[in-house]
Amino acid sequence: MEQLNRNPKLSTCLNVLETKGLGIDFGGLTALNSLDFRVKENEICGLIGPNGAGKTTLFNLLTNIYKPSRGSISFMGQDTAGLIPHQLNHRGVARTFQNIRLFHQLSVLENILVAMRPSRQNRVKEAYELLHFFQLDSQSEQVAGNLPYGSQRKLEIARALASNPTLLLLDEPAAGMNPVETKVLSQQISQIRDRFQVSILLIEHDMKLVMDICDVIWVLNFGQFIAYGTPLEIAKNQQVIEAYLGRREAARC
Amino acid sequence: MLRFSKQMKRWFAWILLPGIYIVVLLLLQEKLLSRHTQSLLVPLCMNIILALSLNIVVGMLGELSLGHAGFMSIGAYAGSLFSLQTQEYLPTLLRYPLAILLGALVAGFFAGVLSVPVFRLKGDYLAIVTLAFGEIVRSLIINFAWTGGAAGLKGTPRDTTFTTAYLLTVFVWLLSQKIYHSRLGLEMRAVRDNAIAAEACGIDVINRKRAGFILAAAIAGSAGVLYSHYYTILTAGVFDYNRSIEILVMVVLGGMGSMIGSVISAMTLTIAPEALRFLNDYRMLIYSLLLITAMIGRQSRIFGQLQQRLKEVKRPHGAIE
Repeated sequence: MEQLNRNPKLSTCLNVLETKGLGIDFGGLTALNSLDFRVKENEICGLIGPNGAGKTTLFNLLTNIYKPSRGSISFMGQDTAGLIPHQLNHRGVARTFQNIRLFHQLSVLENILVAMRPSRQNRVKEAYELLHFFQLDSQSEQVAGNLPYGSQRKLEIARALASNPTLLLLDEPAAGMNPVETKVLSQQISQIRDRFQVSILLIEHDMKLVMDICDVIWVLNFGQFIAYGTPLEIAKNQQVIEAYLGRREAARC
Repeated sequence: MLRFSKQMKRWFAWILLPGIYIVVLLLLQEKLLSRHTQSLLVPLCMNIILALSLNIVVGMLGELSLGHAGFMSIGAYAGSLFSLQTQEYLPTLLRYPLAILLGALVAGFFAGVLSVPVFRLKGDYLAIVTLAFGEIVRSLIINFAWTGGAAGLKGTPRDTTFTTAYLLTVFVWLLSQKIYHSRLGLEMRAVRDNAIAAEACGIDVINRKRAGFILAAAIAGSAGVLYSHYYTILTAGVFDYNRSIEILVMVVLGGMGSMIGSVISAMTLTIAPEALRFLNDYRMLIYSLLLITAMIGRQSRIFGQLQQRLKEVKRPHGAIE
């Protein structure tokens, strides 16, 4: 296959992920309403929005933890309806969680190994390389639950990468990190895209991180997309500013 | 600090395990053990096997099963019925291992059938369903004619000796070590720690749960065969939920997931009620008190440190492959 253009802004490369009219209701409440959404190959895609906008719900739909009330999701051109989450992972979707979900009684190394396919060769070596990338190799024998918070976040990303995904979903990767850690993380996320050739979709509240590393940003509010564009476009978008600050405050800006 | 390195463990396996056997055998030969102590040897092995097998479900998978005695009784009856049928044609050396194998297979089969509906549910359903399952098995056995009914199944050949019980115990010990460090064991422990994350990491959670559950039931079934070929008379009444709880207590007291802990607490809880016999009427009272103290005590620092040392935290990474 021809090498696809790496720069997503210029490329017309294929959609890794695409949703059509995707929505979900919880009882009478429409949490997400008919979303048309896409992530392109090798793209770092930001998903932002105020609290309760439905970002994590969208993640849970994309990973088949929830069943959509309407609409469809296609991953690499194939409909994912009816797949169990672990099957979706085998297809190439990996994720992290907003509240860290590590295998806390397993060692750091085991956390990585267990996420690798058993058929893969040289698992231990590759696991160490992955840990080295995240500067966790010196703690490989430690029990994961004993790691400091920042390292736990990193380990969760490393574990997600261990399954060799095509699409990586990061749910607030910088939550609870200090500014220095956040800065390192944002560099690492860009490196991850280049090194592991993955598309990344990330939810994040740290606007600096989002603006720095995302190629495109989707803004969600009350279960609907209110904006889509490059970081620069989003920063200037009146609707986005209103959603975050409220109408009166926004008018003052 | 005392650390259990890999070499020391190999030591443990190759020297201690046959060592214990030879010592006990010598004691038996020299008639240094009282009849009472002698009668405890096989139940001791049996309880260790049961605790190790339940540890797979409770300790490695993190699921609560309250019907372990049910699987034990299925194995016991399957093995006994087989031995009664084939007693005349097959020599003991062939029949007895076959009976154990059959007991394990039948118990595993029932666990497999039960696991289909159970693991579609989440949460504490397994505890409830397995509890009910154990009771159903017991009442069915009492009401069937071909199981001997309430009067029990008599005439099973007395094939279980200390040697066979010990061999099976060692086998189960090595097997559960193997499982713990295997890919299956690793995935089961991941499921225990966080099922949602395990699923997101590509682990077939339901499949792993079923596998662990079936394995544990099969091992319990083989312990049942040991039982029935030791006491020769089999009544369903002994396999009630009290028995299941007893096994569970052994696992919990030993520190869930710790295999050596399961062994030690299974031994303690088998010997303790017998050792307290001199207390006569107060025996069970004191035993209960000791149990409560032990449960509280295992959260204390001293016990925790001891456990930490016994646990295989420091493990060479090659072990997982």
